[in-house]
Order: sequence, then structure tokens, then C-alpha cells
Amino acid sequence: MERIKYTEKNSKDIIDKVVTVLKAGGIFVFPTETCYGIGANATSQKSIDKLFSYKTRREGKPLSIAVSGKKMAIKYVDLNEIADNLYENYLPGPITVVSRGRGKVAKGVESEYGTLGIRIPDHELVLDIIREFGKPITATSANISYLPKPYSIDALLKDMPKKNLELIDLIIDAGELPHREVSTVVDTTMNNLNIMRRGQIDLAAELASQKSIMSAQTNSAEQTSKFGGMNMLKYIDEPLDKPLVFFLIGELGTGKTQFSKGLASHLGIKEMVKSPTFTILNEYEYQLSRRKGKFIHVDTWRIDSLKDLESIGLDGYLTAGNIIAIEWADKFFDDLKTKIKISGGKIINVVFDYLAEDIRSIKTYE
Amino acid sequence: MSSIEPIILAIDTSCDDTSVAVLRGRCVLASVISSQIELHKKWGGVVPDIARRAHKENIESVYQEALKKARVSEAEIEFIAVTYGPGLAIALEVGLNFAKALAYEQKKKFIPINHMEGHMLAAFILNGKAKGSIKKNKENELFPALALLISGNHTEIVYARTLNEYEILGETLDDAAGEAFDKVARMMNVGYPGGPIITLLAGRADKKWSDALSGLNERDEKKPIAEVAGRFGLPIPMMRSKDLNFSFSGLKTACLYKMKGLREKYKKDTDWSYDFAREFINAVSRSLSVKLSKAIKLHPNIKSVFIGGGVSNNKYIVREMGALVRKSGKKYFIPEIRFRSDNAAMIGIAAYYNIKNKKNWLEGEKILAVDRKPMLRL
Repeated sequence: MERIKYTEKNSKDIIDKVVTVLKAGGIFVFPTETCYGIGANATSQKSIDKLFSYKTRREGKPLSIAVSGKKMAIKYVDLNEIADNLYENYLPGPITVVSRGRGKVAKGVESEYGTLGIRIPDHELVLDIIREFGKPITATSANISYLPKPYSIDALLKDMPKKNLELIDLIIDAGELPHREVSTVVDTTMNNLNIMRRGQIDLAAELASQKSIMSAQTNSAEQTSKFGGMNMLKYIDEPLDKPLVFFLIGELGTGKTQFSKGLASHLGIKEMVKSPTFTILNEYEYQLSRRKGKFIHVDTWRIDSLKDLESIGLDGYLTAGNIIAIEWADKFFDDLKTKIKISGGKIINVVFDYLAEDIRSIKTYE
Repeated sequence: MSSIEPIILAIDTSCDDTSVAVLRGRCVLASVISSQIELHKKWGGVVPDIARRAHKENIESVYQEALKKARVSEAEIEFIAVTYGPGLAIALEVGLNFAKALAYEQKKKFIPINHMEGHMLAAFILNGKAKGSIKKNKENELFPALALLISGNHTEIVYARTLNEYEILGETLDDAAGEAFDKVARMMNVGYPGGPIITLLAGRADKKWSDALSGLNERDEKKPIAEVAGRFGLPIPMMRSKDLNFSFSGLKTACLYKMKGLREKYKKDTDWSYDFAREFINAVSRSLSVKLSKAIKLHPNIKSVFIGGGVSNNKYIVREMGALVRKSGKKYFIPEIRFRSDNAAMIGIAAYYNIKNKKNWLEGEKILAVDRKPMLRL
């Protein structure tokens, strides 16, 4: 193991040495704008296996990688609109961007769900190393798993078992680093509405070609809620032997939850109806004259597939007497429609549009 | 209960983290959270089926890891505590079933715990060396108390007459504070979860923010910082409402509206987003502080104020709440960083006081009858 002091003058020499180590499948310790990292060729299985032995990490836990820029990132992950925004405007910097991987790195680098975390360190030496090497390197912290993040080489090497130490081929010592927090991890694979709702424009057009049953322009949360109540009033006499399902379709902040509050309020539900984004499905009991059942408030915002909706037990609620409101139902429109048709349920489509800061257009279709 | 402090095993699977902790009395001997072991804090939000699978796969190893770290054998455990609500139904189920089976088979005393009581009492946890901000046997002197609990699913002001008697004074009418962060981050196209990334961006805001904040104490308390540094005119939610409730959906909508204009105006340049992130945090924080301040004035008898929940990791929000409480002359408590977000140690501490003050554990067949309650309230 070699330990080199980094001065800005010897960076050329360091880069050459690092590239030699990387090409030989070795691992090296390097400074970043956060703590010291441990680098290995992210595309070589031999290197990654060596890194895992060093980290003594349990299997199945992903690593993040460092690239020199967006151009290199594109070779390893699919960039969507969110990731593109982060790469264009906020990197380099202490942000790890998680995207869907392309399977181009060694086994164990991507997560078992096929996602990959990428970082562009705000550190000239590291960027130069990656540029020279031409491939991404791992960007995990240099400590052995379960030990603190190292901000100096002395802290890193203190009490390090000999068998771990022997695996390190090269250490770049840049002295004590400023104690900045580790990078912030953001996931961009979640809620990629643009992809999931590809059919949405067609859907809106299809619905708009029909005649709406009810419509309103509301200019406050209270009015949106009241319109929800009016919808409930209209459909409350639907036969009791099948579920009634409202598909609530509209962007963030267009009033879907407010509308649901109105549905619930008309059903005489006294509990506070809050956004179900976090819990995904909220269940309330209602009784209104001879009609009795459950009001189920669902939000698909945080889920990716119909299977997930099934796993929270949606099918079990598609029974007589139940009234179900599904926010972002358009994410799985066709599949949901089929499912509800099979259950014999009636679907009401409610489309929310945003006209101005306080003005919403809400239209109800069957 | 004997004078020797009981060993409590605590489990929480209310959302996306599988957590297991071991406590001896108030001292945490081990607190293991599955996402700490992984590099990525999240593997993609909360996808229910994956969440359940992950909890199922994790729980045995997280449990073993906690026992190992605590240097405690299964036989030494006297109580098993577990979150039974509120939370994601299918996630709660995994932890609850695991805990029920363990308690029933090994004839342990069993305590179902409300997750929010955990957040409420997290500041009472002592570290492994029995150190913490609240001294032993001084707990009762801190009550009655108020708590501000802020997370992805909750925004509540709670009045606690004693350690185990709670009343919700105010809560969100729609979105929780943490949810507002996630949704605004989505609008800003900066990924998930929203809290850390928005806070990071806010750190790059214009210097005038720190200038305005440093002069805050001399200013009229009622004058929002937004007037000093805010250029987007984001509203402070529920400023004028008379009650102690919160609402973040109006702020969310205002953000959406302002941002549309900003995107058109600045096209490629996104420097506005730093100030925007800072102003958004300010609006959330001011909304919380206005209501907390009102609650303190309405309950002058309280001795202390507790802050808890994942959003209390936000340094700007914590700073404002701390300043407010200290100015009111009440004692201020916030959990250690690792006990602010969801964790099992806080379930353990809640169990400890349930054991000590209420002796309300279950044994035998009664354990098997406990069911999850996804919408449980304090």
C-alpha cells in the first residue's frame, strides 16, 4: 500500500498512479467534498468483489458511483426529466441521484431493484481521475461498514484490522477534510408520472369528448369540497349491491383531496379526512339512512404499479355498499377500469383542471 | 416491577424502515434501522408490495443484529413492544405479527404502542452510557407539556397532562408538513424524499436570508421573514386562523402556481430555486411557529415543549422552534438526531413509561388478539 500526500502540484502524478491501480483491479482511498471515499472500477467484477471484501458489507446493498459528468452518466442509467434537471442545474455537488440502471456496472453496484446512485463529486482531482480513466468509480465512503465516516486518513486507519488494510492499494492523503455532511440521496425513479401517464392526454381527450354530467368552476378549497358533496348527493341512490368508485384525475394541488373531503362530509363522516398520500389507503365507516358501508380514500401518488395497489388490499374493498375515491387513478386507468368492471362497480370520472391560482375547473363524467 | 430496570425489545415497521431496538429501562442498548445498513436511505419511496417484502426479509436479521449489538440474549428480554398504528397497514402487519409470535411463543409480556407516542417521548431516551437531556426521576417535573409532532404523515400539537395522558389540540386538515416537502420537491423536479434536498438547496439561498434572520430578534415578531427576504410572496399557511390546526395544501398550490411563472421567466436559469426552497421552508416553519406560539399562550401552565418526528431534522425549522420556546421561558426538548425520524428506540421508551406508570401489558392468548390500526390517533 502506498500513501501519497496530495498537493495541487502533484495531481498529474497522482492521476497516473490511480489509473494504474484501477486498471489492475485495485482499490484506492480519495478525498471528496464530503468525506474520504474508496474507489474501484465500477465496471469490473474483480474490483468490486475486492471492494466488498474491504468494506465487509453484507451482500445485496448497493454502492453509489462517481462519474465525470452527465455524458458519462447516460451510459449507465436512464435519465428522466427529474434526473436531467438535477444533472443540468445542481451537479457537481453533494447529491447522489438515484436512477434506473442499465445493467452496465459490475454485479452488486446496482440495487436489487435495478436502481443506481450516481454522484458527480465537486472535487477537481476526483473528476480528473475519472476523466482520465474513462469509466465510473465507486463513491462509497472509505470506512469499513458500521464505522464512522472518515474525514482524515488517520481517523480511517485507526484500529483498522490488518486484513482490511492490506486490501487498499493506494491512499491519497489530502489532510483533514472539512466536516461536511455526507451527500443527500434523491430518488428520481419514483412517481415518474410522465412515463406512467403516457396515455393521459388521450384519456383527457376521450373524457372531454363525452358530455359531462356535472361541472363547476371553484375558487376556494371550500367550494371544491362542496362540489364533492354535490357529486355524492347525485350518486348516493346508486344501487347498493355494487361499489361506487370515483376516479379523481388532476395534477398536484388541483383539489382532489378537498373534493374527497366533500364526498366524506356528505356521507356524514365526522373524522378528519386527510391526504392519504403517506398511508396510501384510508378507511372510514359511514352510515347514511339505509346506505351503510366504508368510504375508502386512496392515493396512488407513491406507488408504481397496479400490483402494489392490490397488495394494499384494494380488491377486498370492491364490495357492495363501499364508496371508493382514488386520487391519481389515471396512473393505472385501464387496469383499474377493468378491475372495477369485473367487480360490477360503477365508475365516476372526475377531472380537475387548473385555470388560475385559485380557480379550478372540475368536471364529472361517467 | 423489580428495582432492576426491565429489558425491552421494541419493533417498528410502520412505514419503510424496519427498526428494532433493545432498551434497559430508559437506556438504549441497540437501535438498528434497516436503511442505515443500506447505502441508499430509500430504494424508491414506499412501494407497498416492496415495503412488505423488504420488512419481511429484513426483520429477522435486524432483530438478530439488535440483540448482538445490545449483547442481550432472547431469554433476558422481559417485554416486547411494537407499533400497532398509525402507519401503512401492510407494513405494520409485518412487525406486529413478528412481535406477537415472539412474545406468545417465548411467554414475554407484550405492549402494543402508538407510533406517535414514540415520537412524543423520544427525547426521554438515554444513550448506552445513561446520558441524555432529561435526568432520571425528573420526568414528572416536565409536565404538563406540549409537543409539536411533525412527520411525513402527521402535523400535530399535543397537550400532555402527564407522561401518558395526551390530547390533540391541533392537527393538519389536509397534507402533513413532510408531505408538503415531498410534493413541492416533485414540482421542483428534484426527486424524493423532498426534505433533505430542499434543505440542501435552501442552503445555497441568497445571503439576505441569513441577514434577515440574524436581525429577526429585534424585529416585530408578527412580521414574517417573507416580507424581508421573500421575493415570491408564498403565503404563511393558516396565519389568521383562530384554532391550532394546520393546512399545507394551500401552500402547495401556491408553490405550483408561482413556479409555473418562474419557469417561464427564467427558462434555463434555476438560481431562483435556491431562494424558493428557502422561502418555502420559511413558510412551513412560520406556520408551525405561529401555532406553537399560540398553543403556549393558551396553556400557560405547561412546563416544557417537546419536538419530534422526521421533519424536526430540518435545521431551519428546529432553529425557529428552539428560539420560540426558549423565548417563552419553557423548557425545550428535541430528541437526538438518530431518534427524530422513525426508529424503534422511541417505541421502547414509550413502552417503558407504559410499564412504569400504567402496567398495561398483555400476556398469553390476549397477545394474539391485537390487530393493527393504520389510522390510530393519540
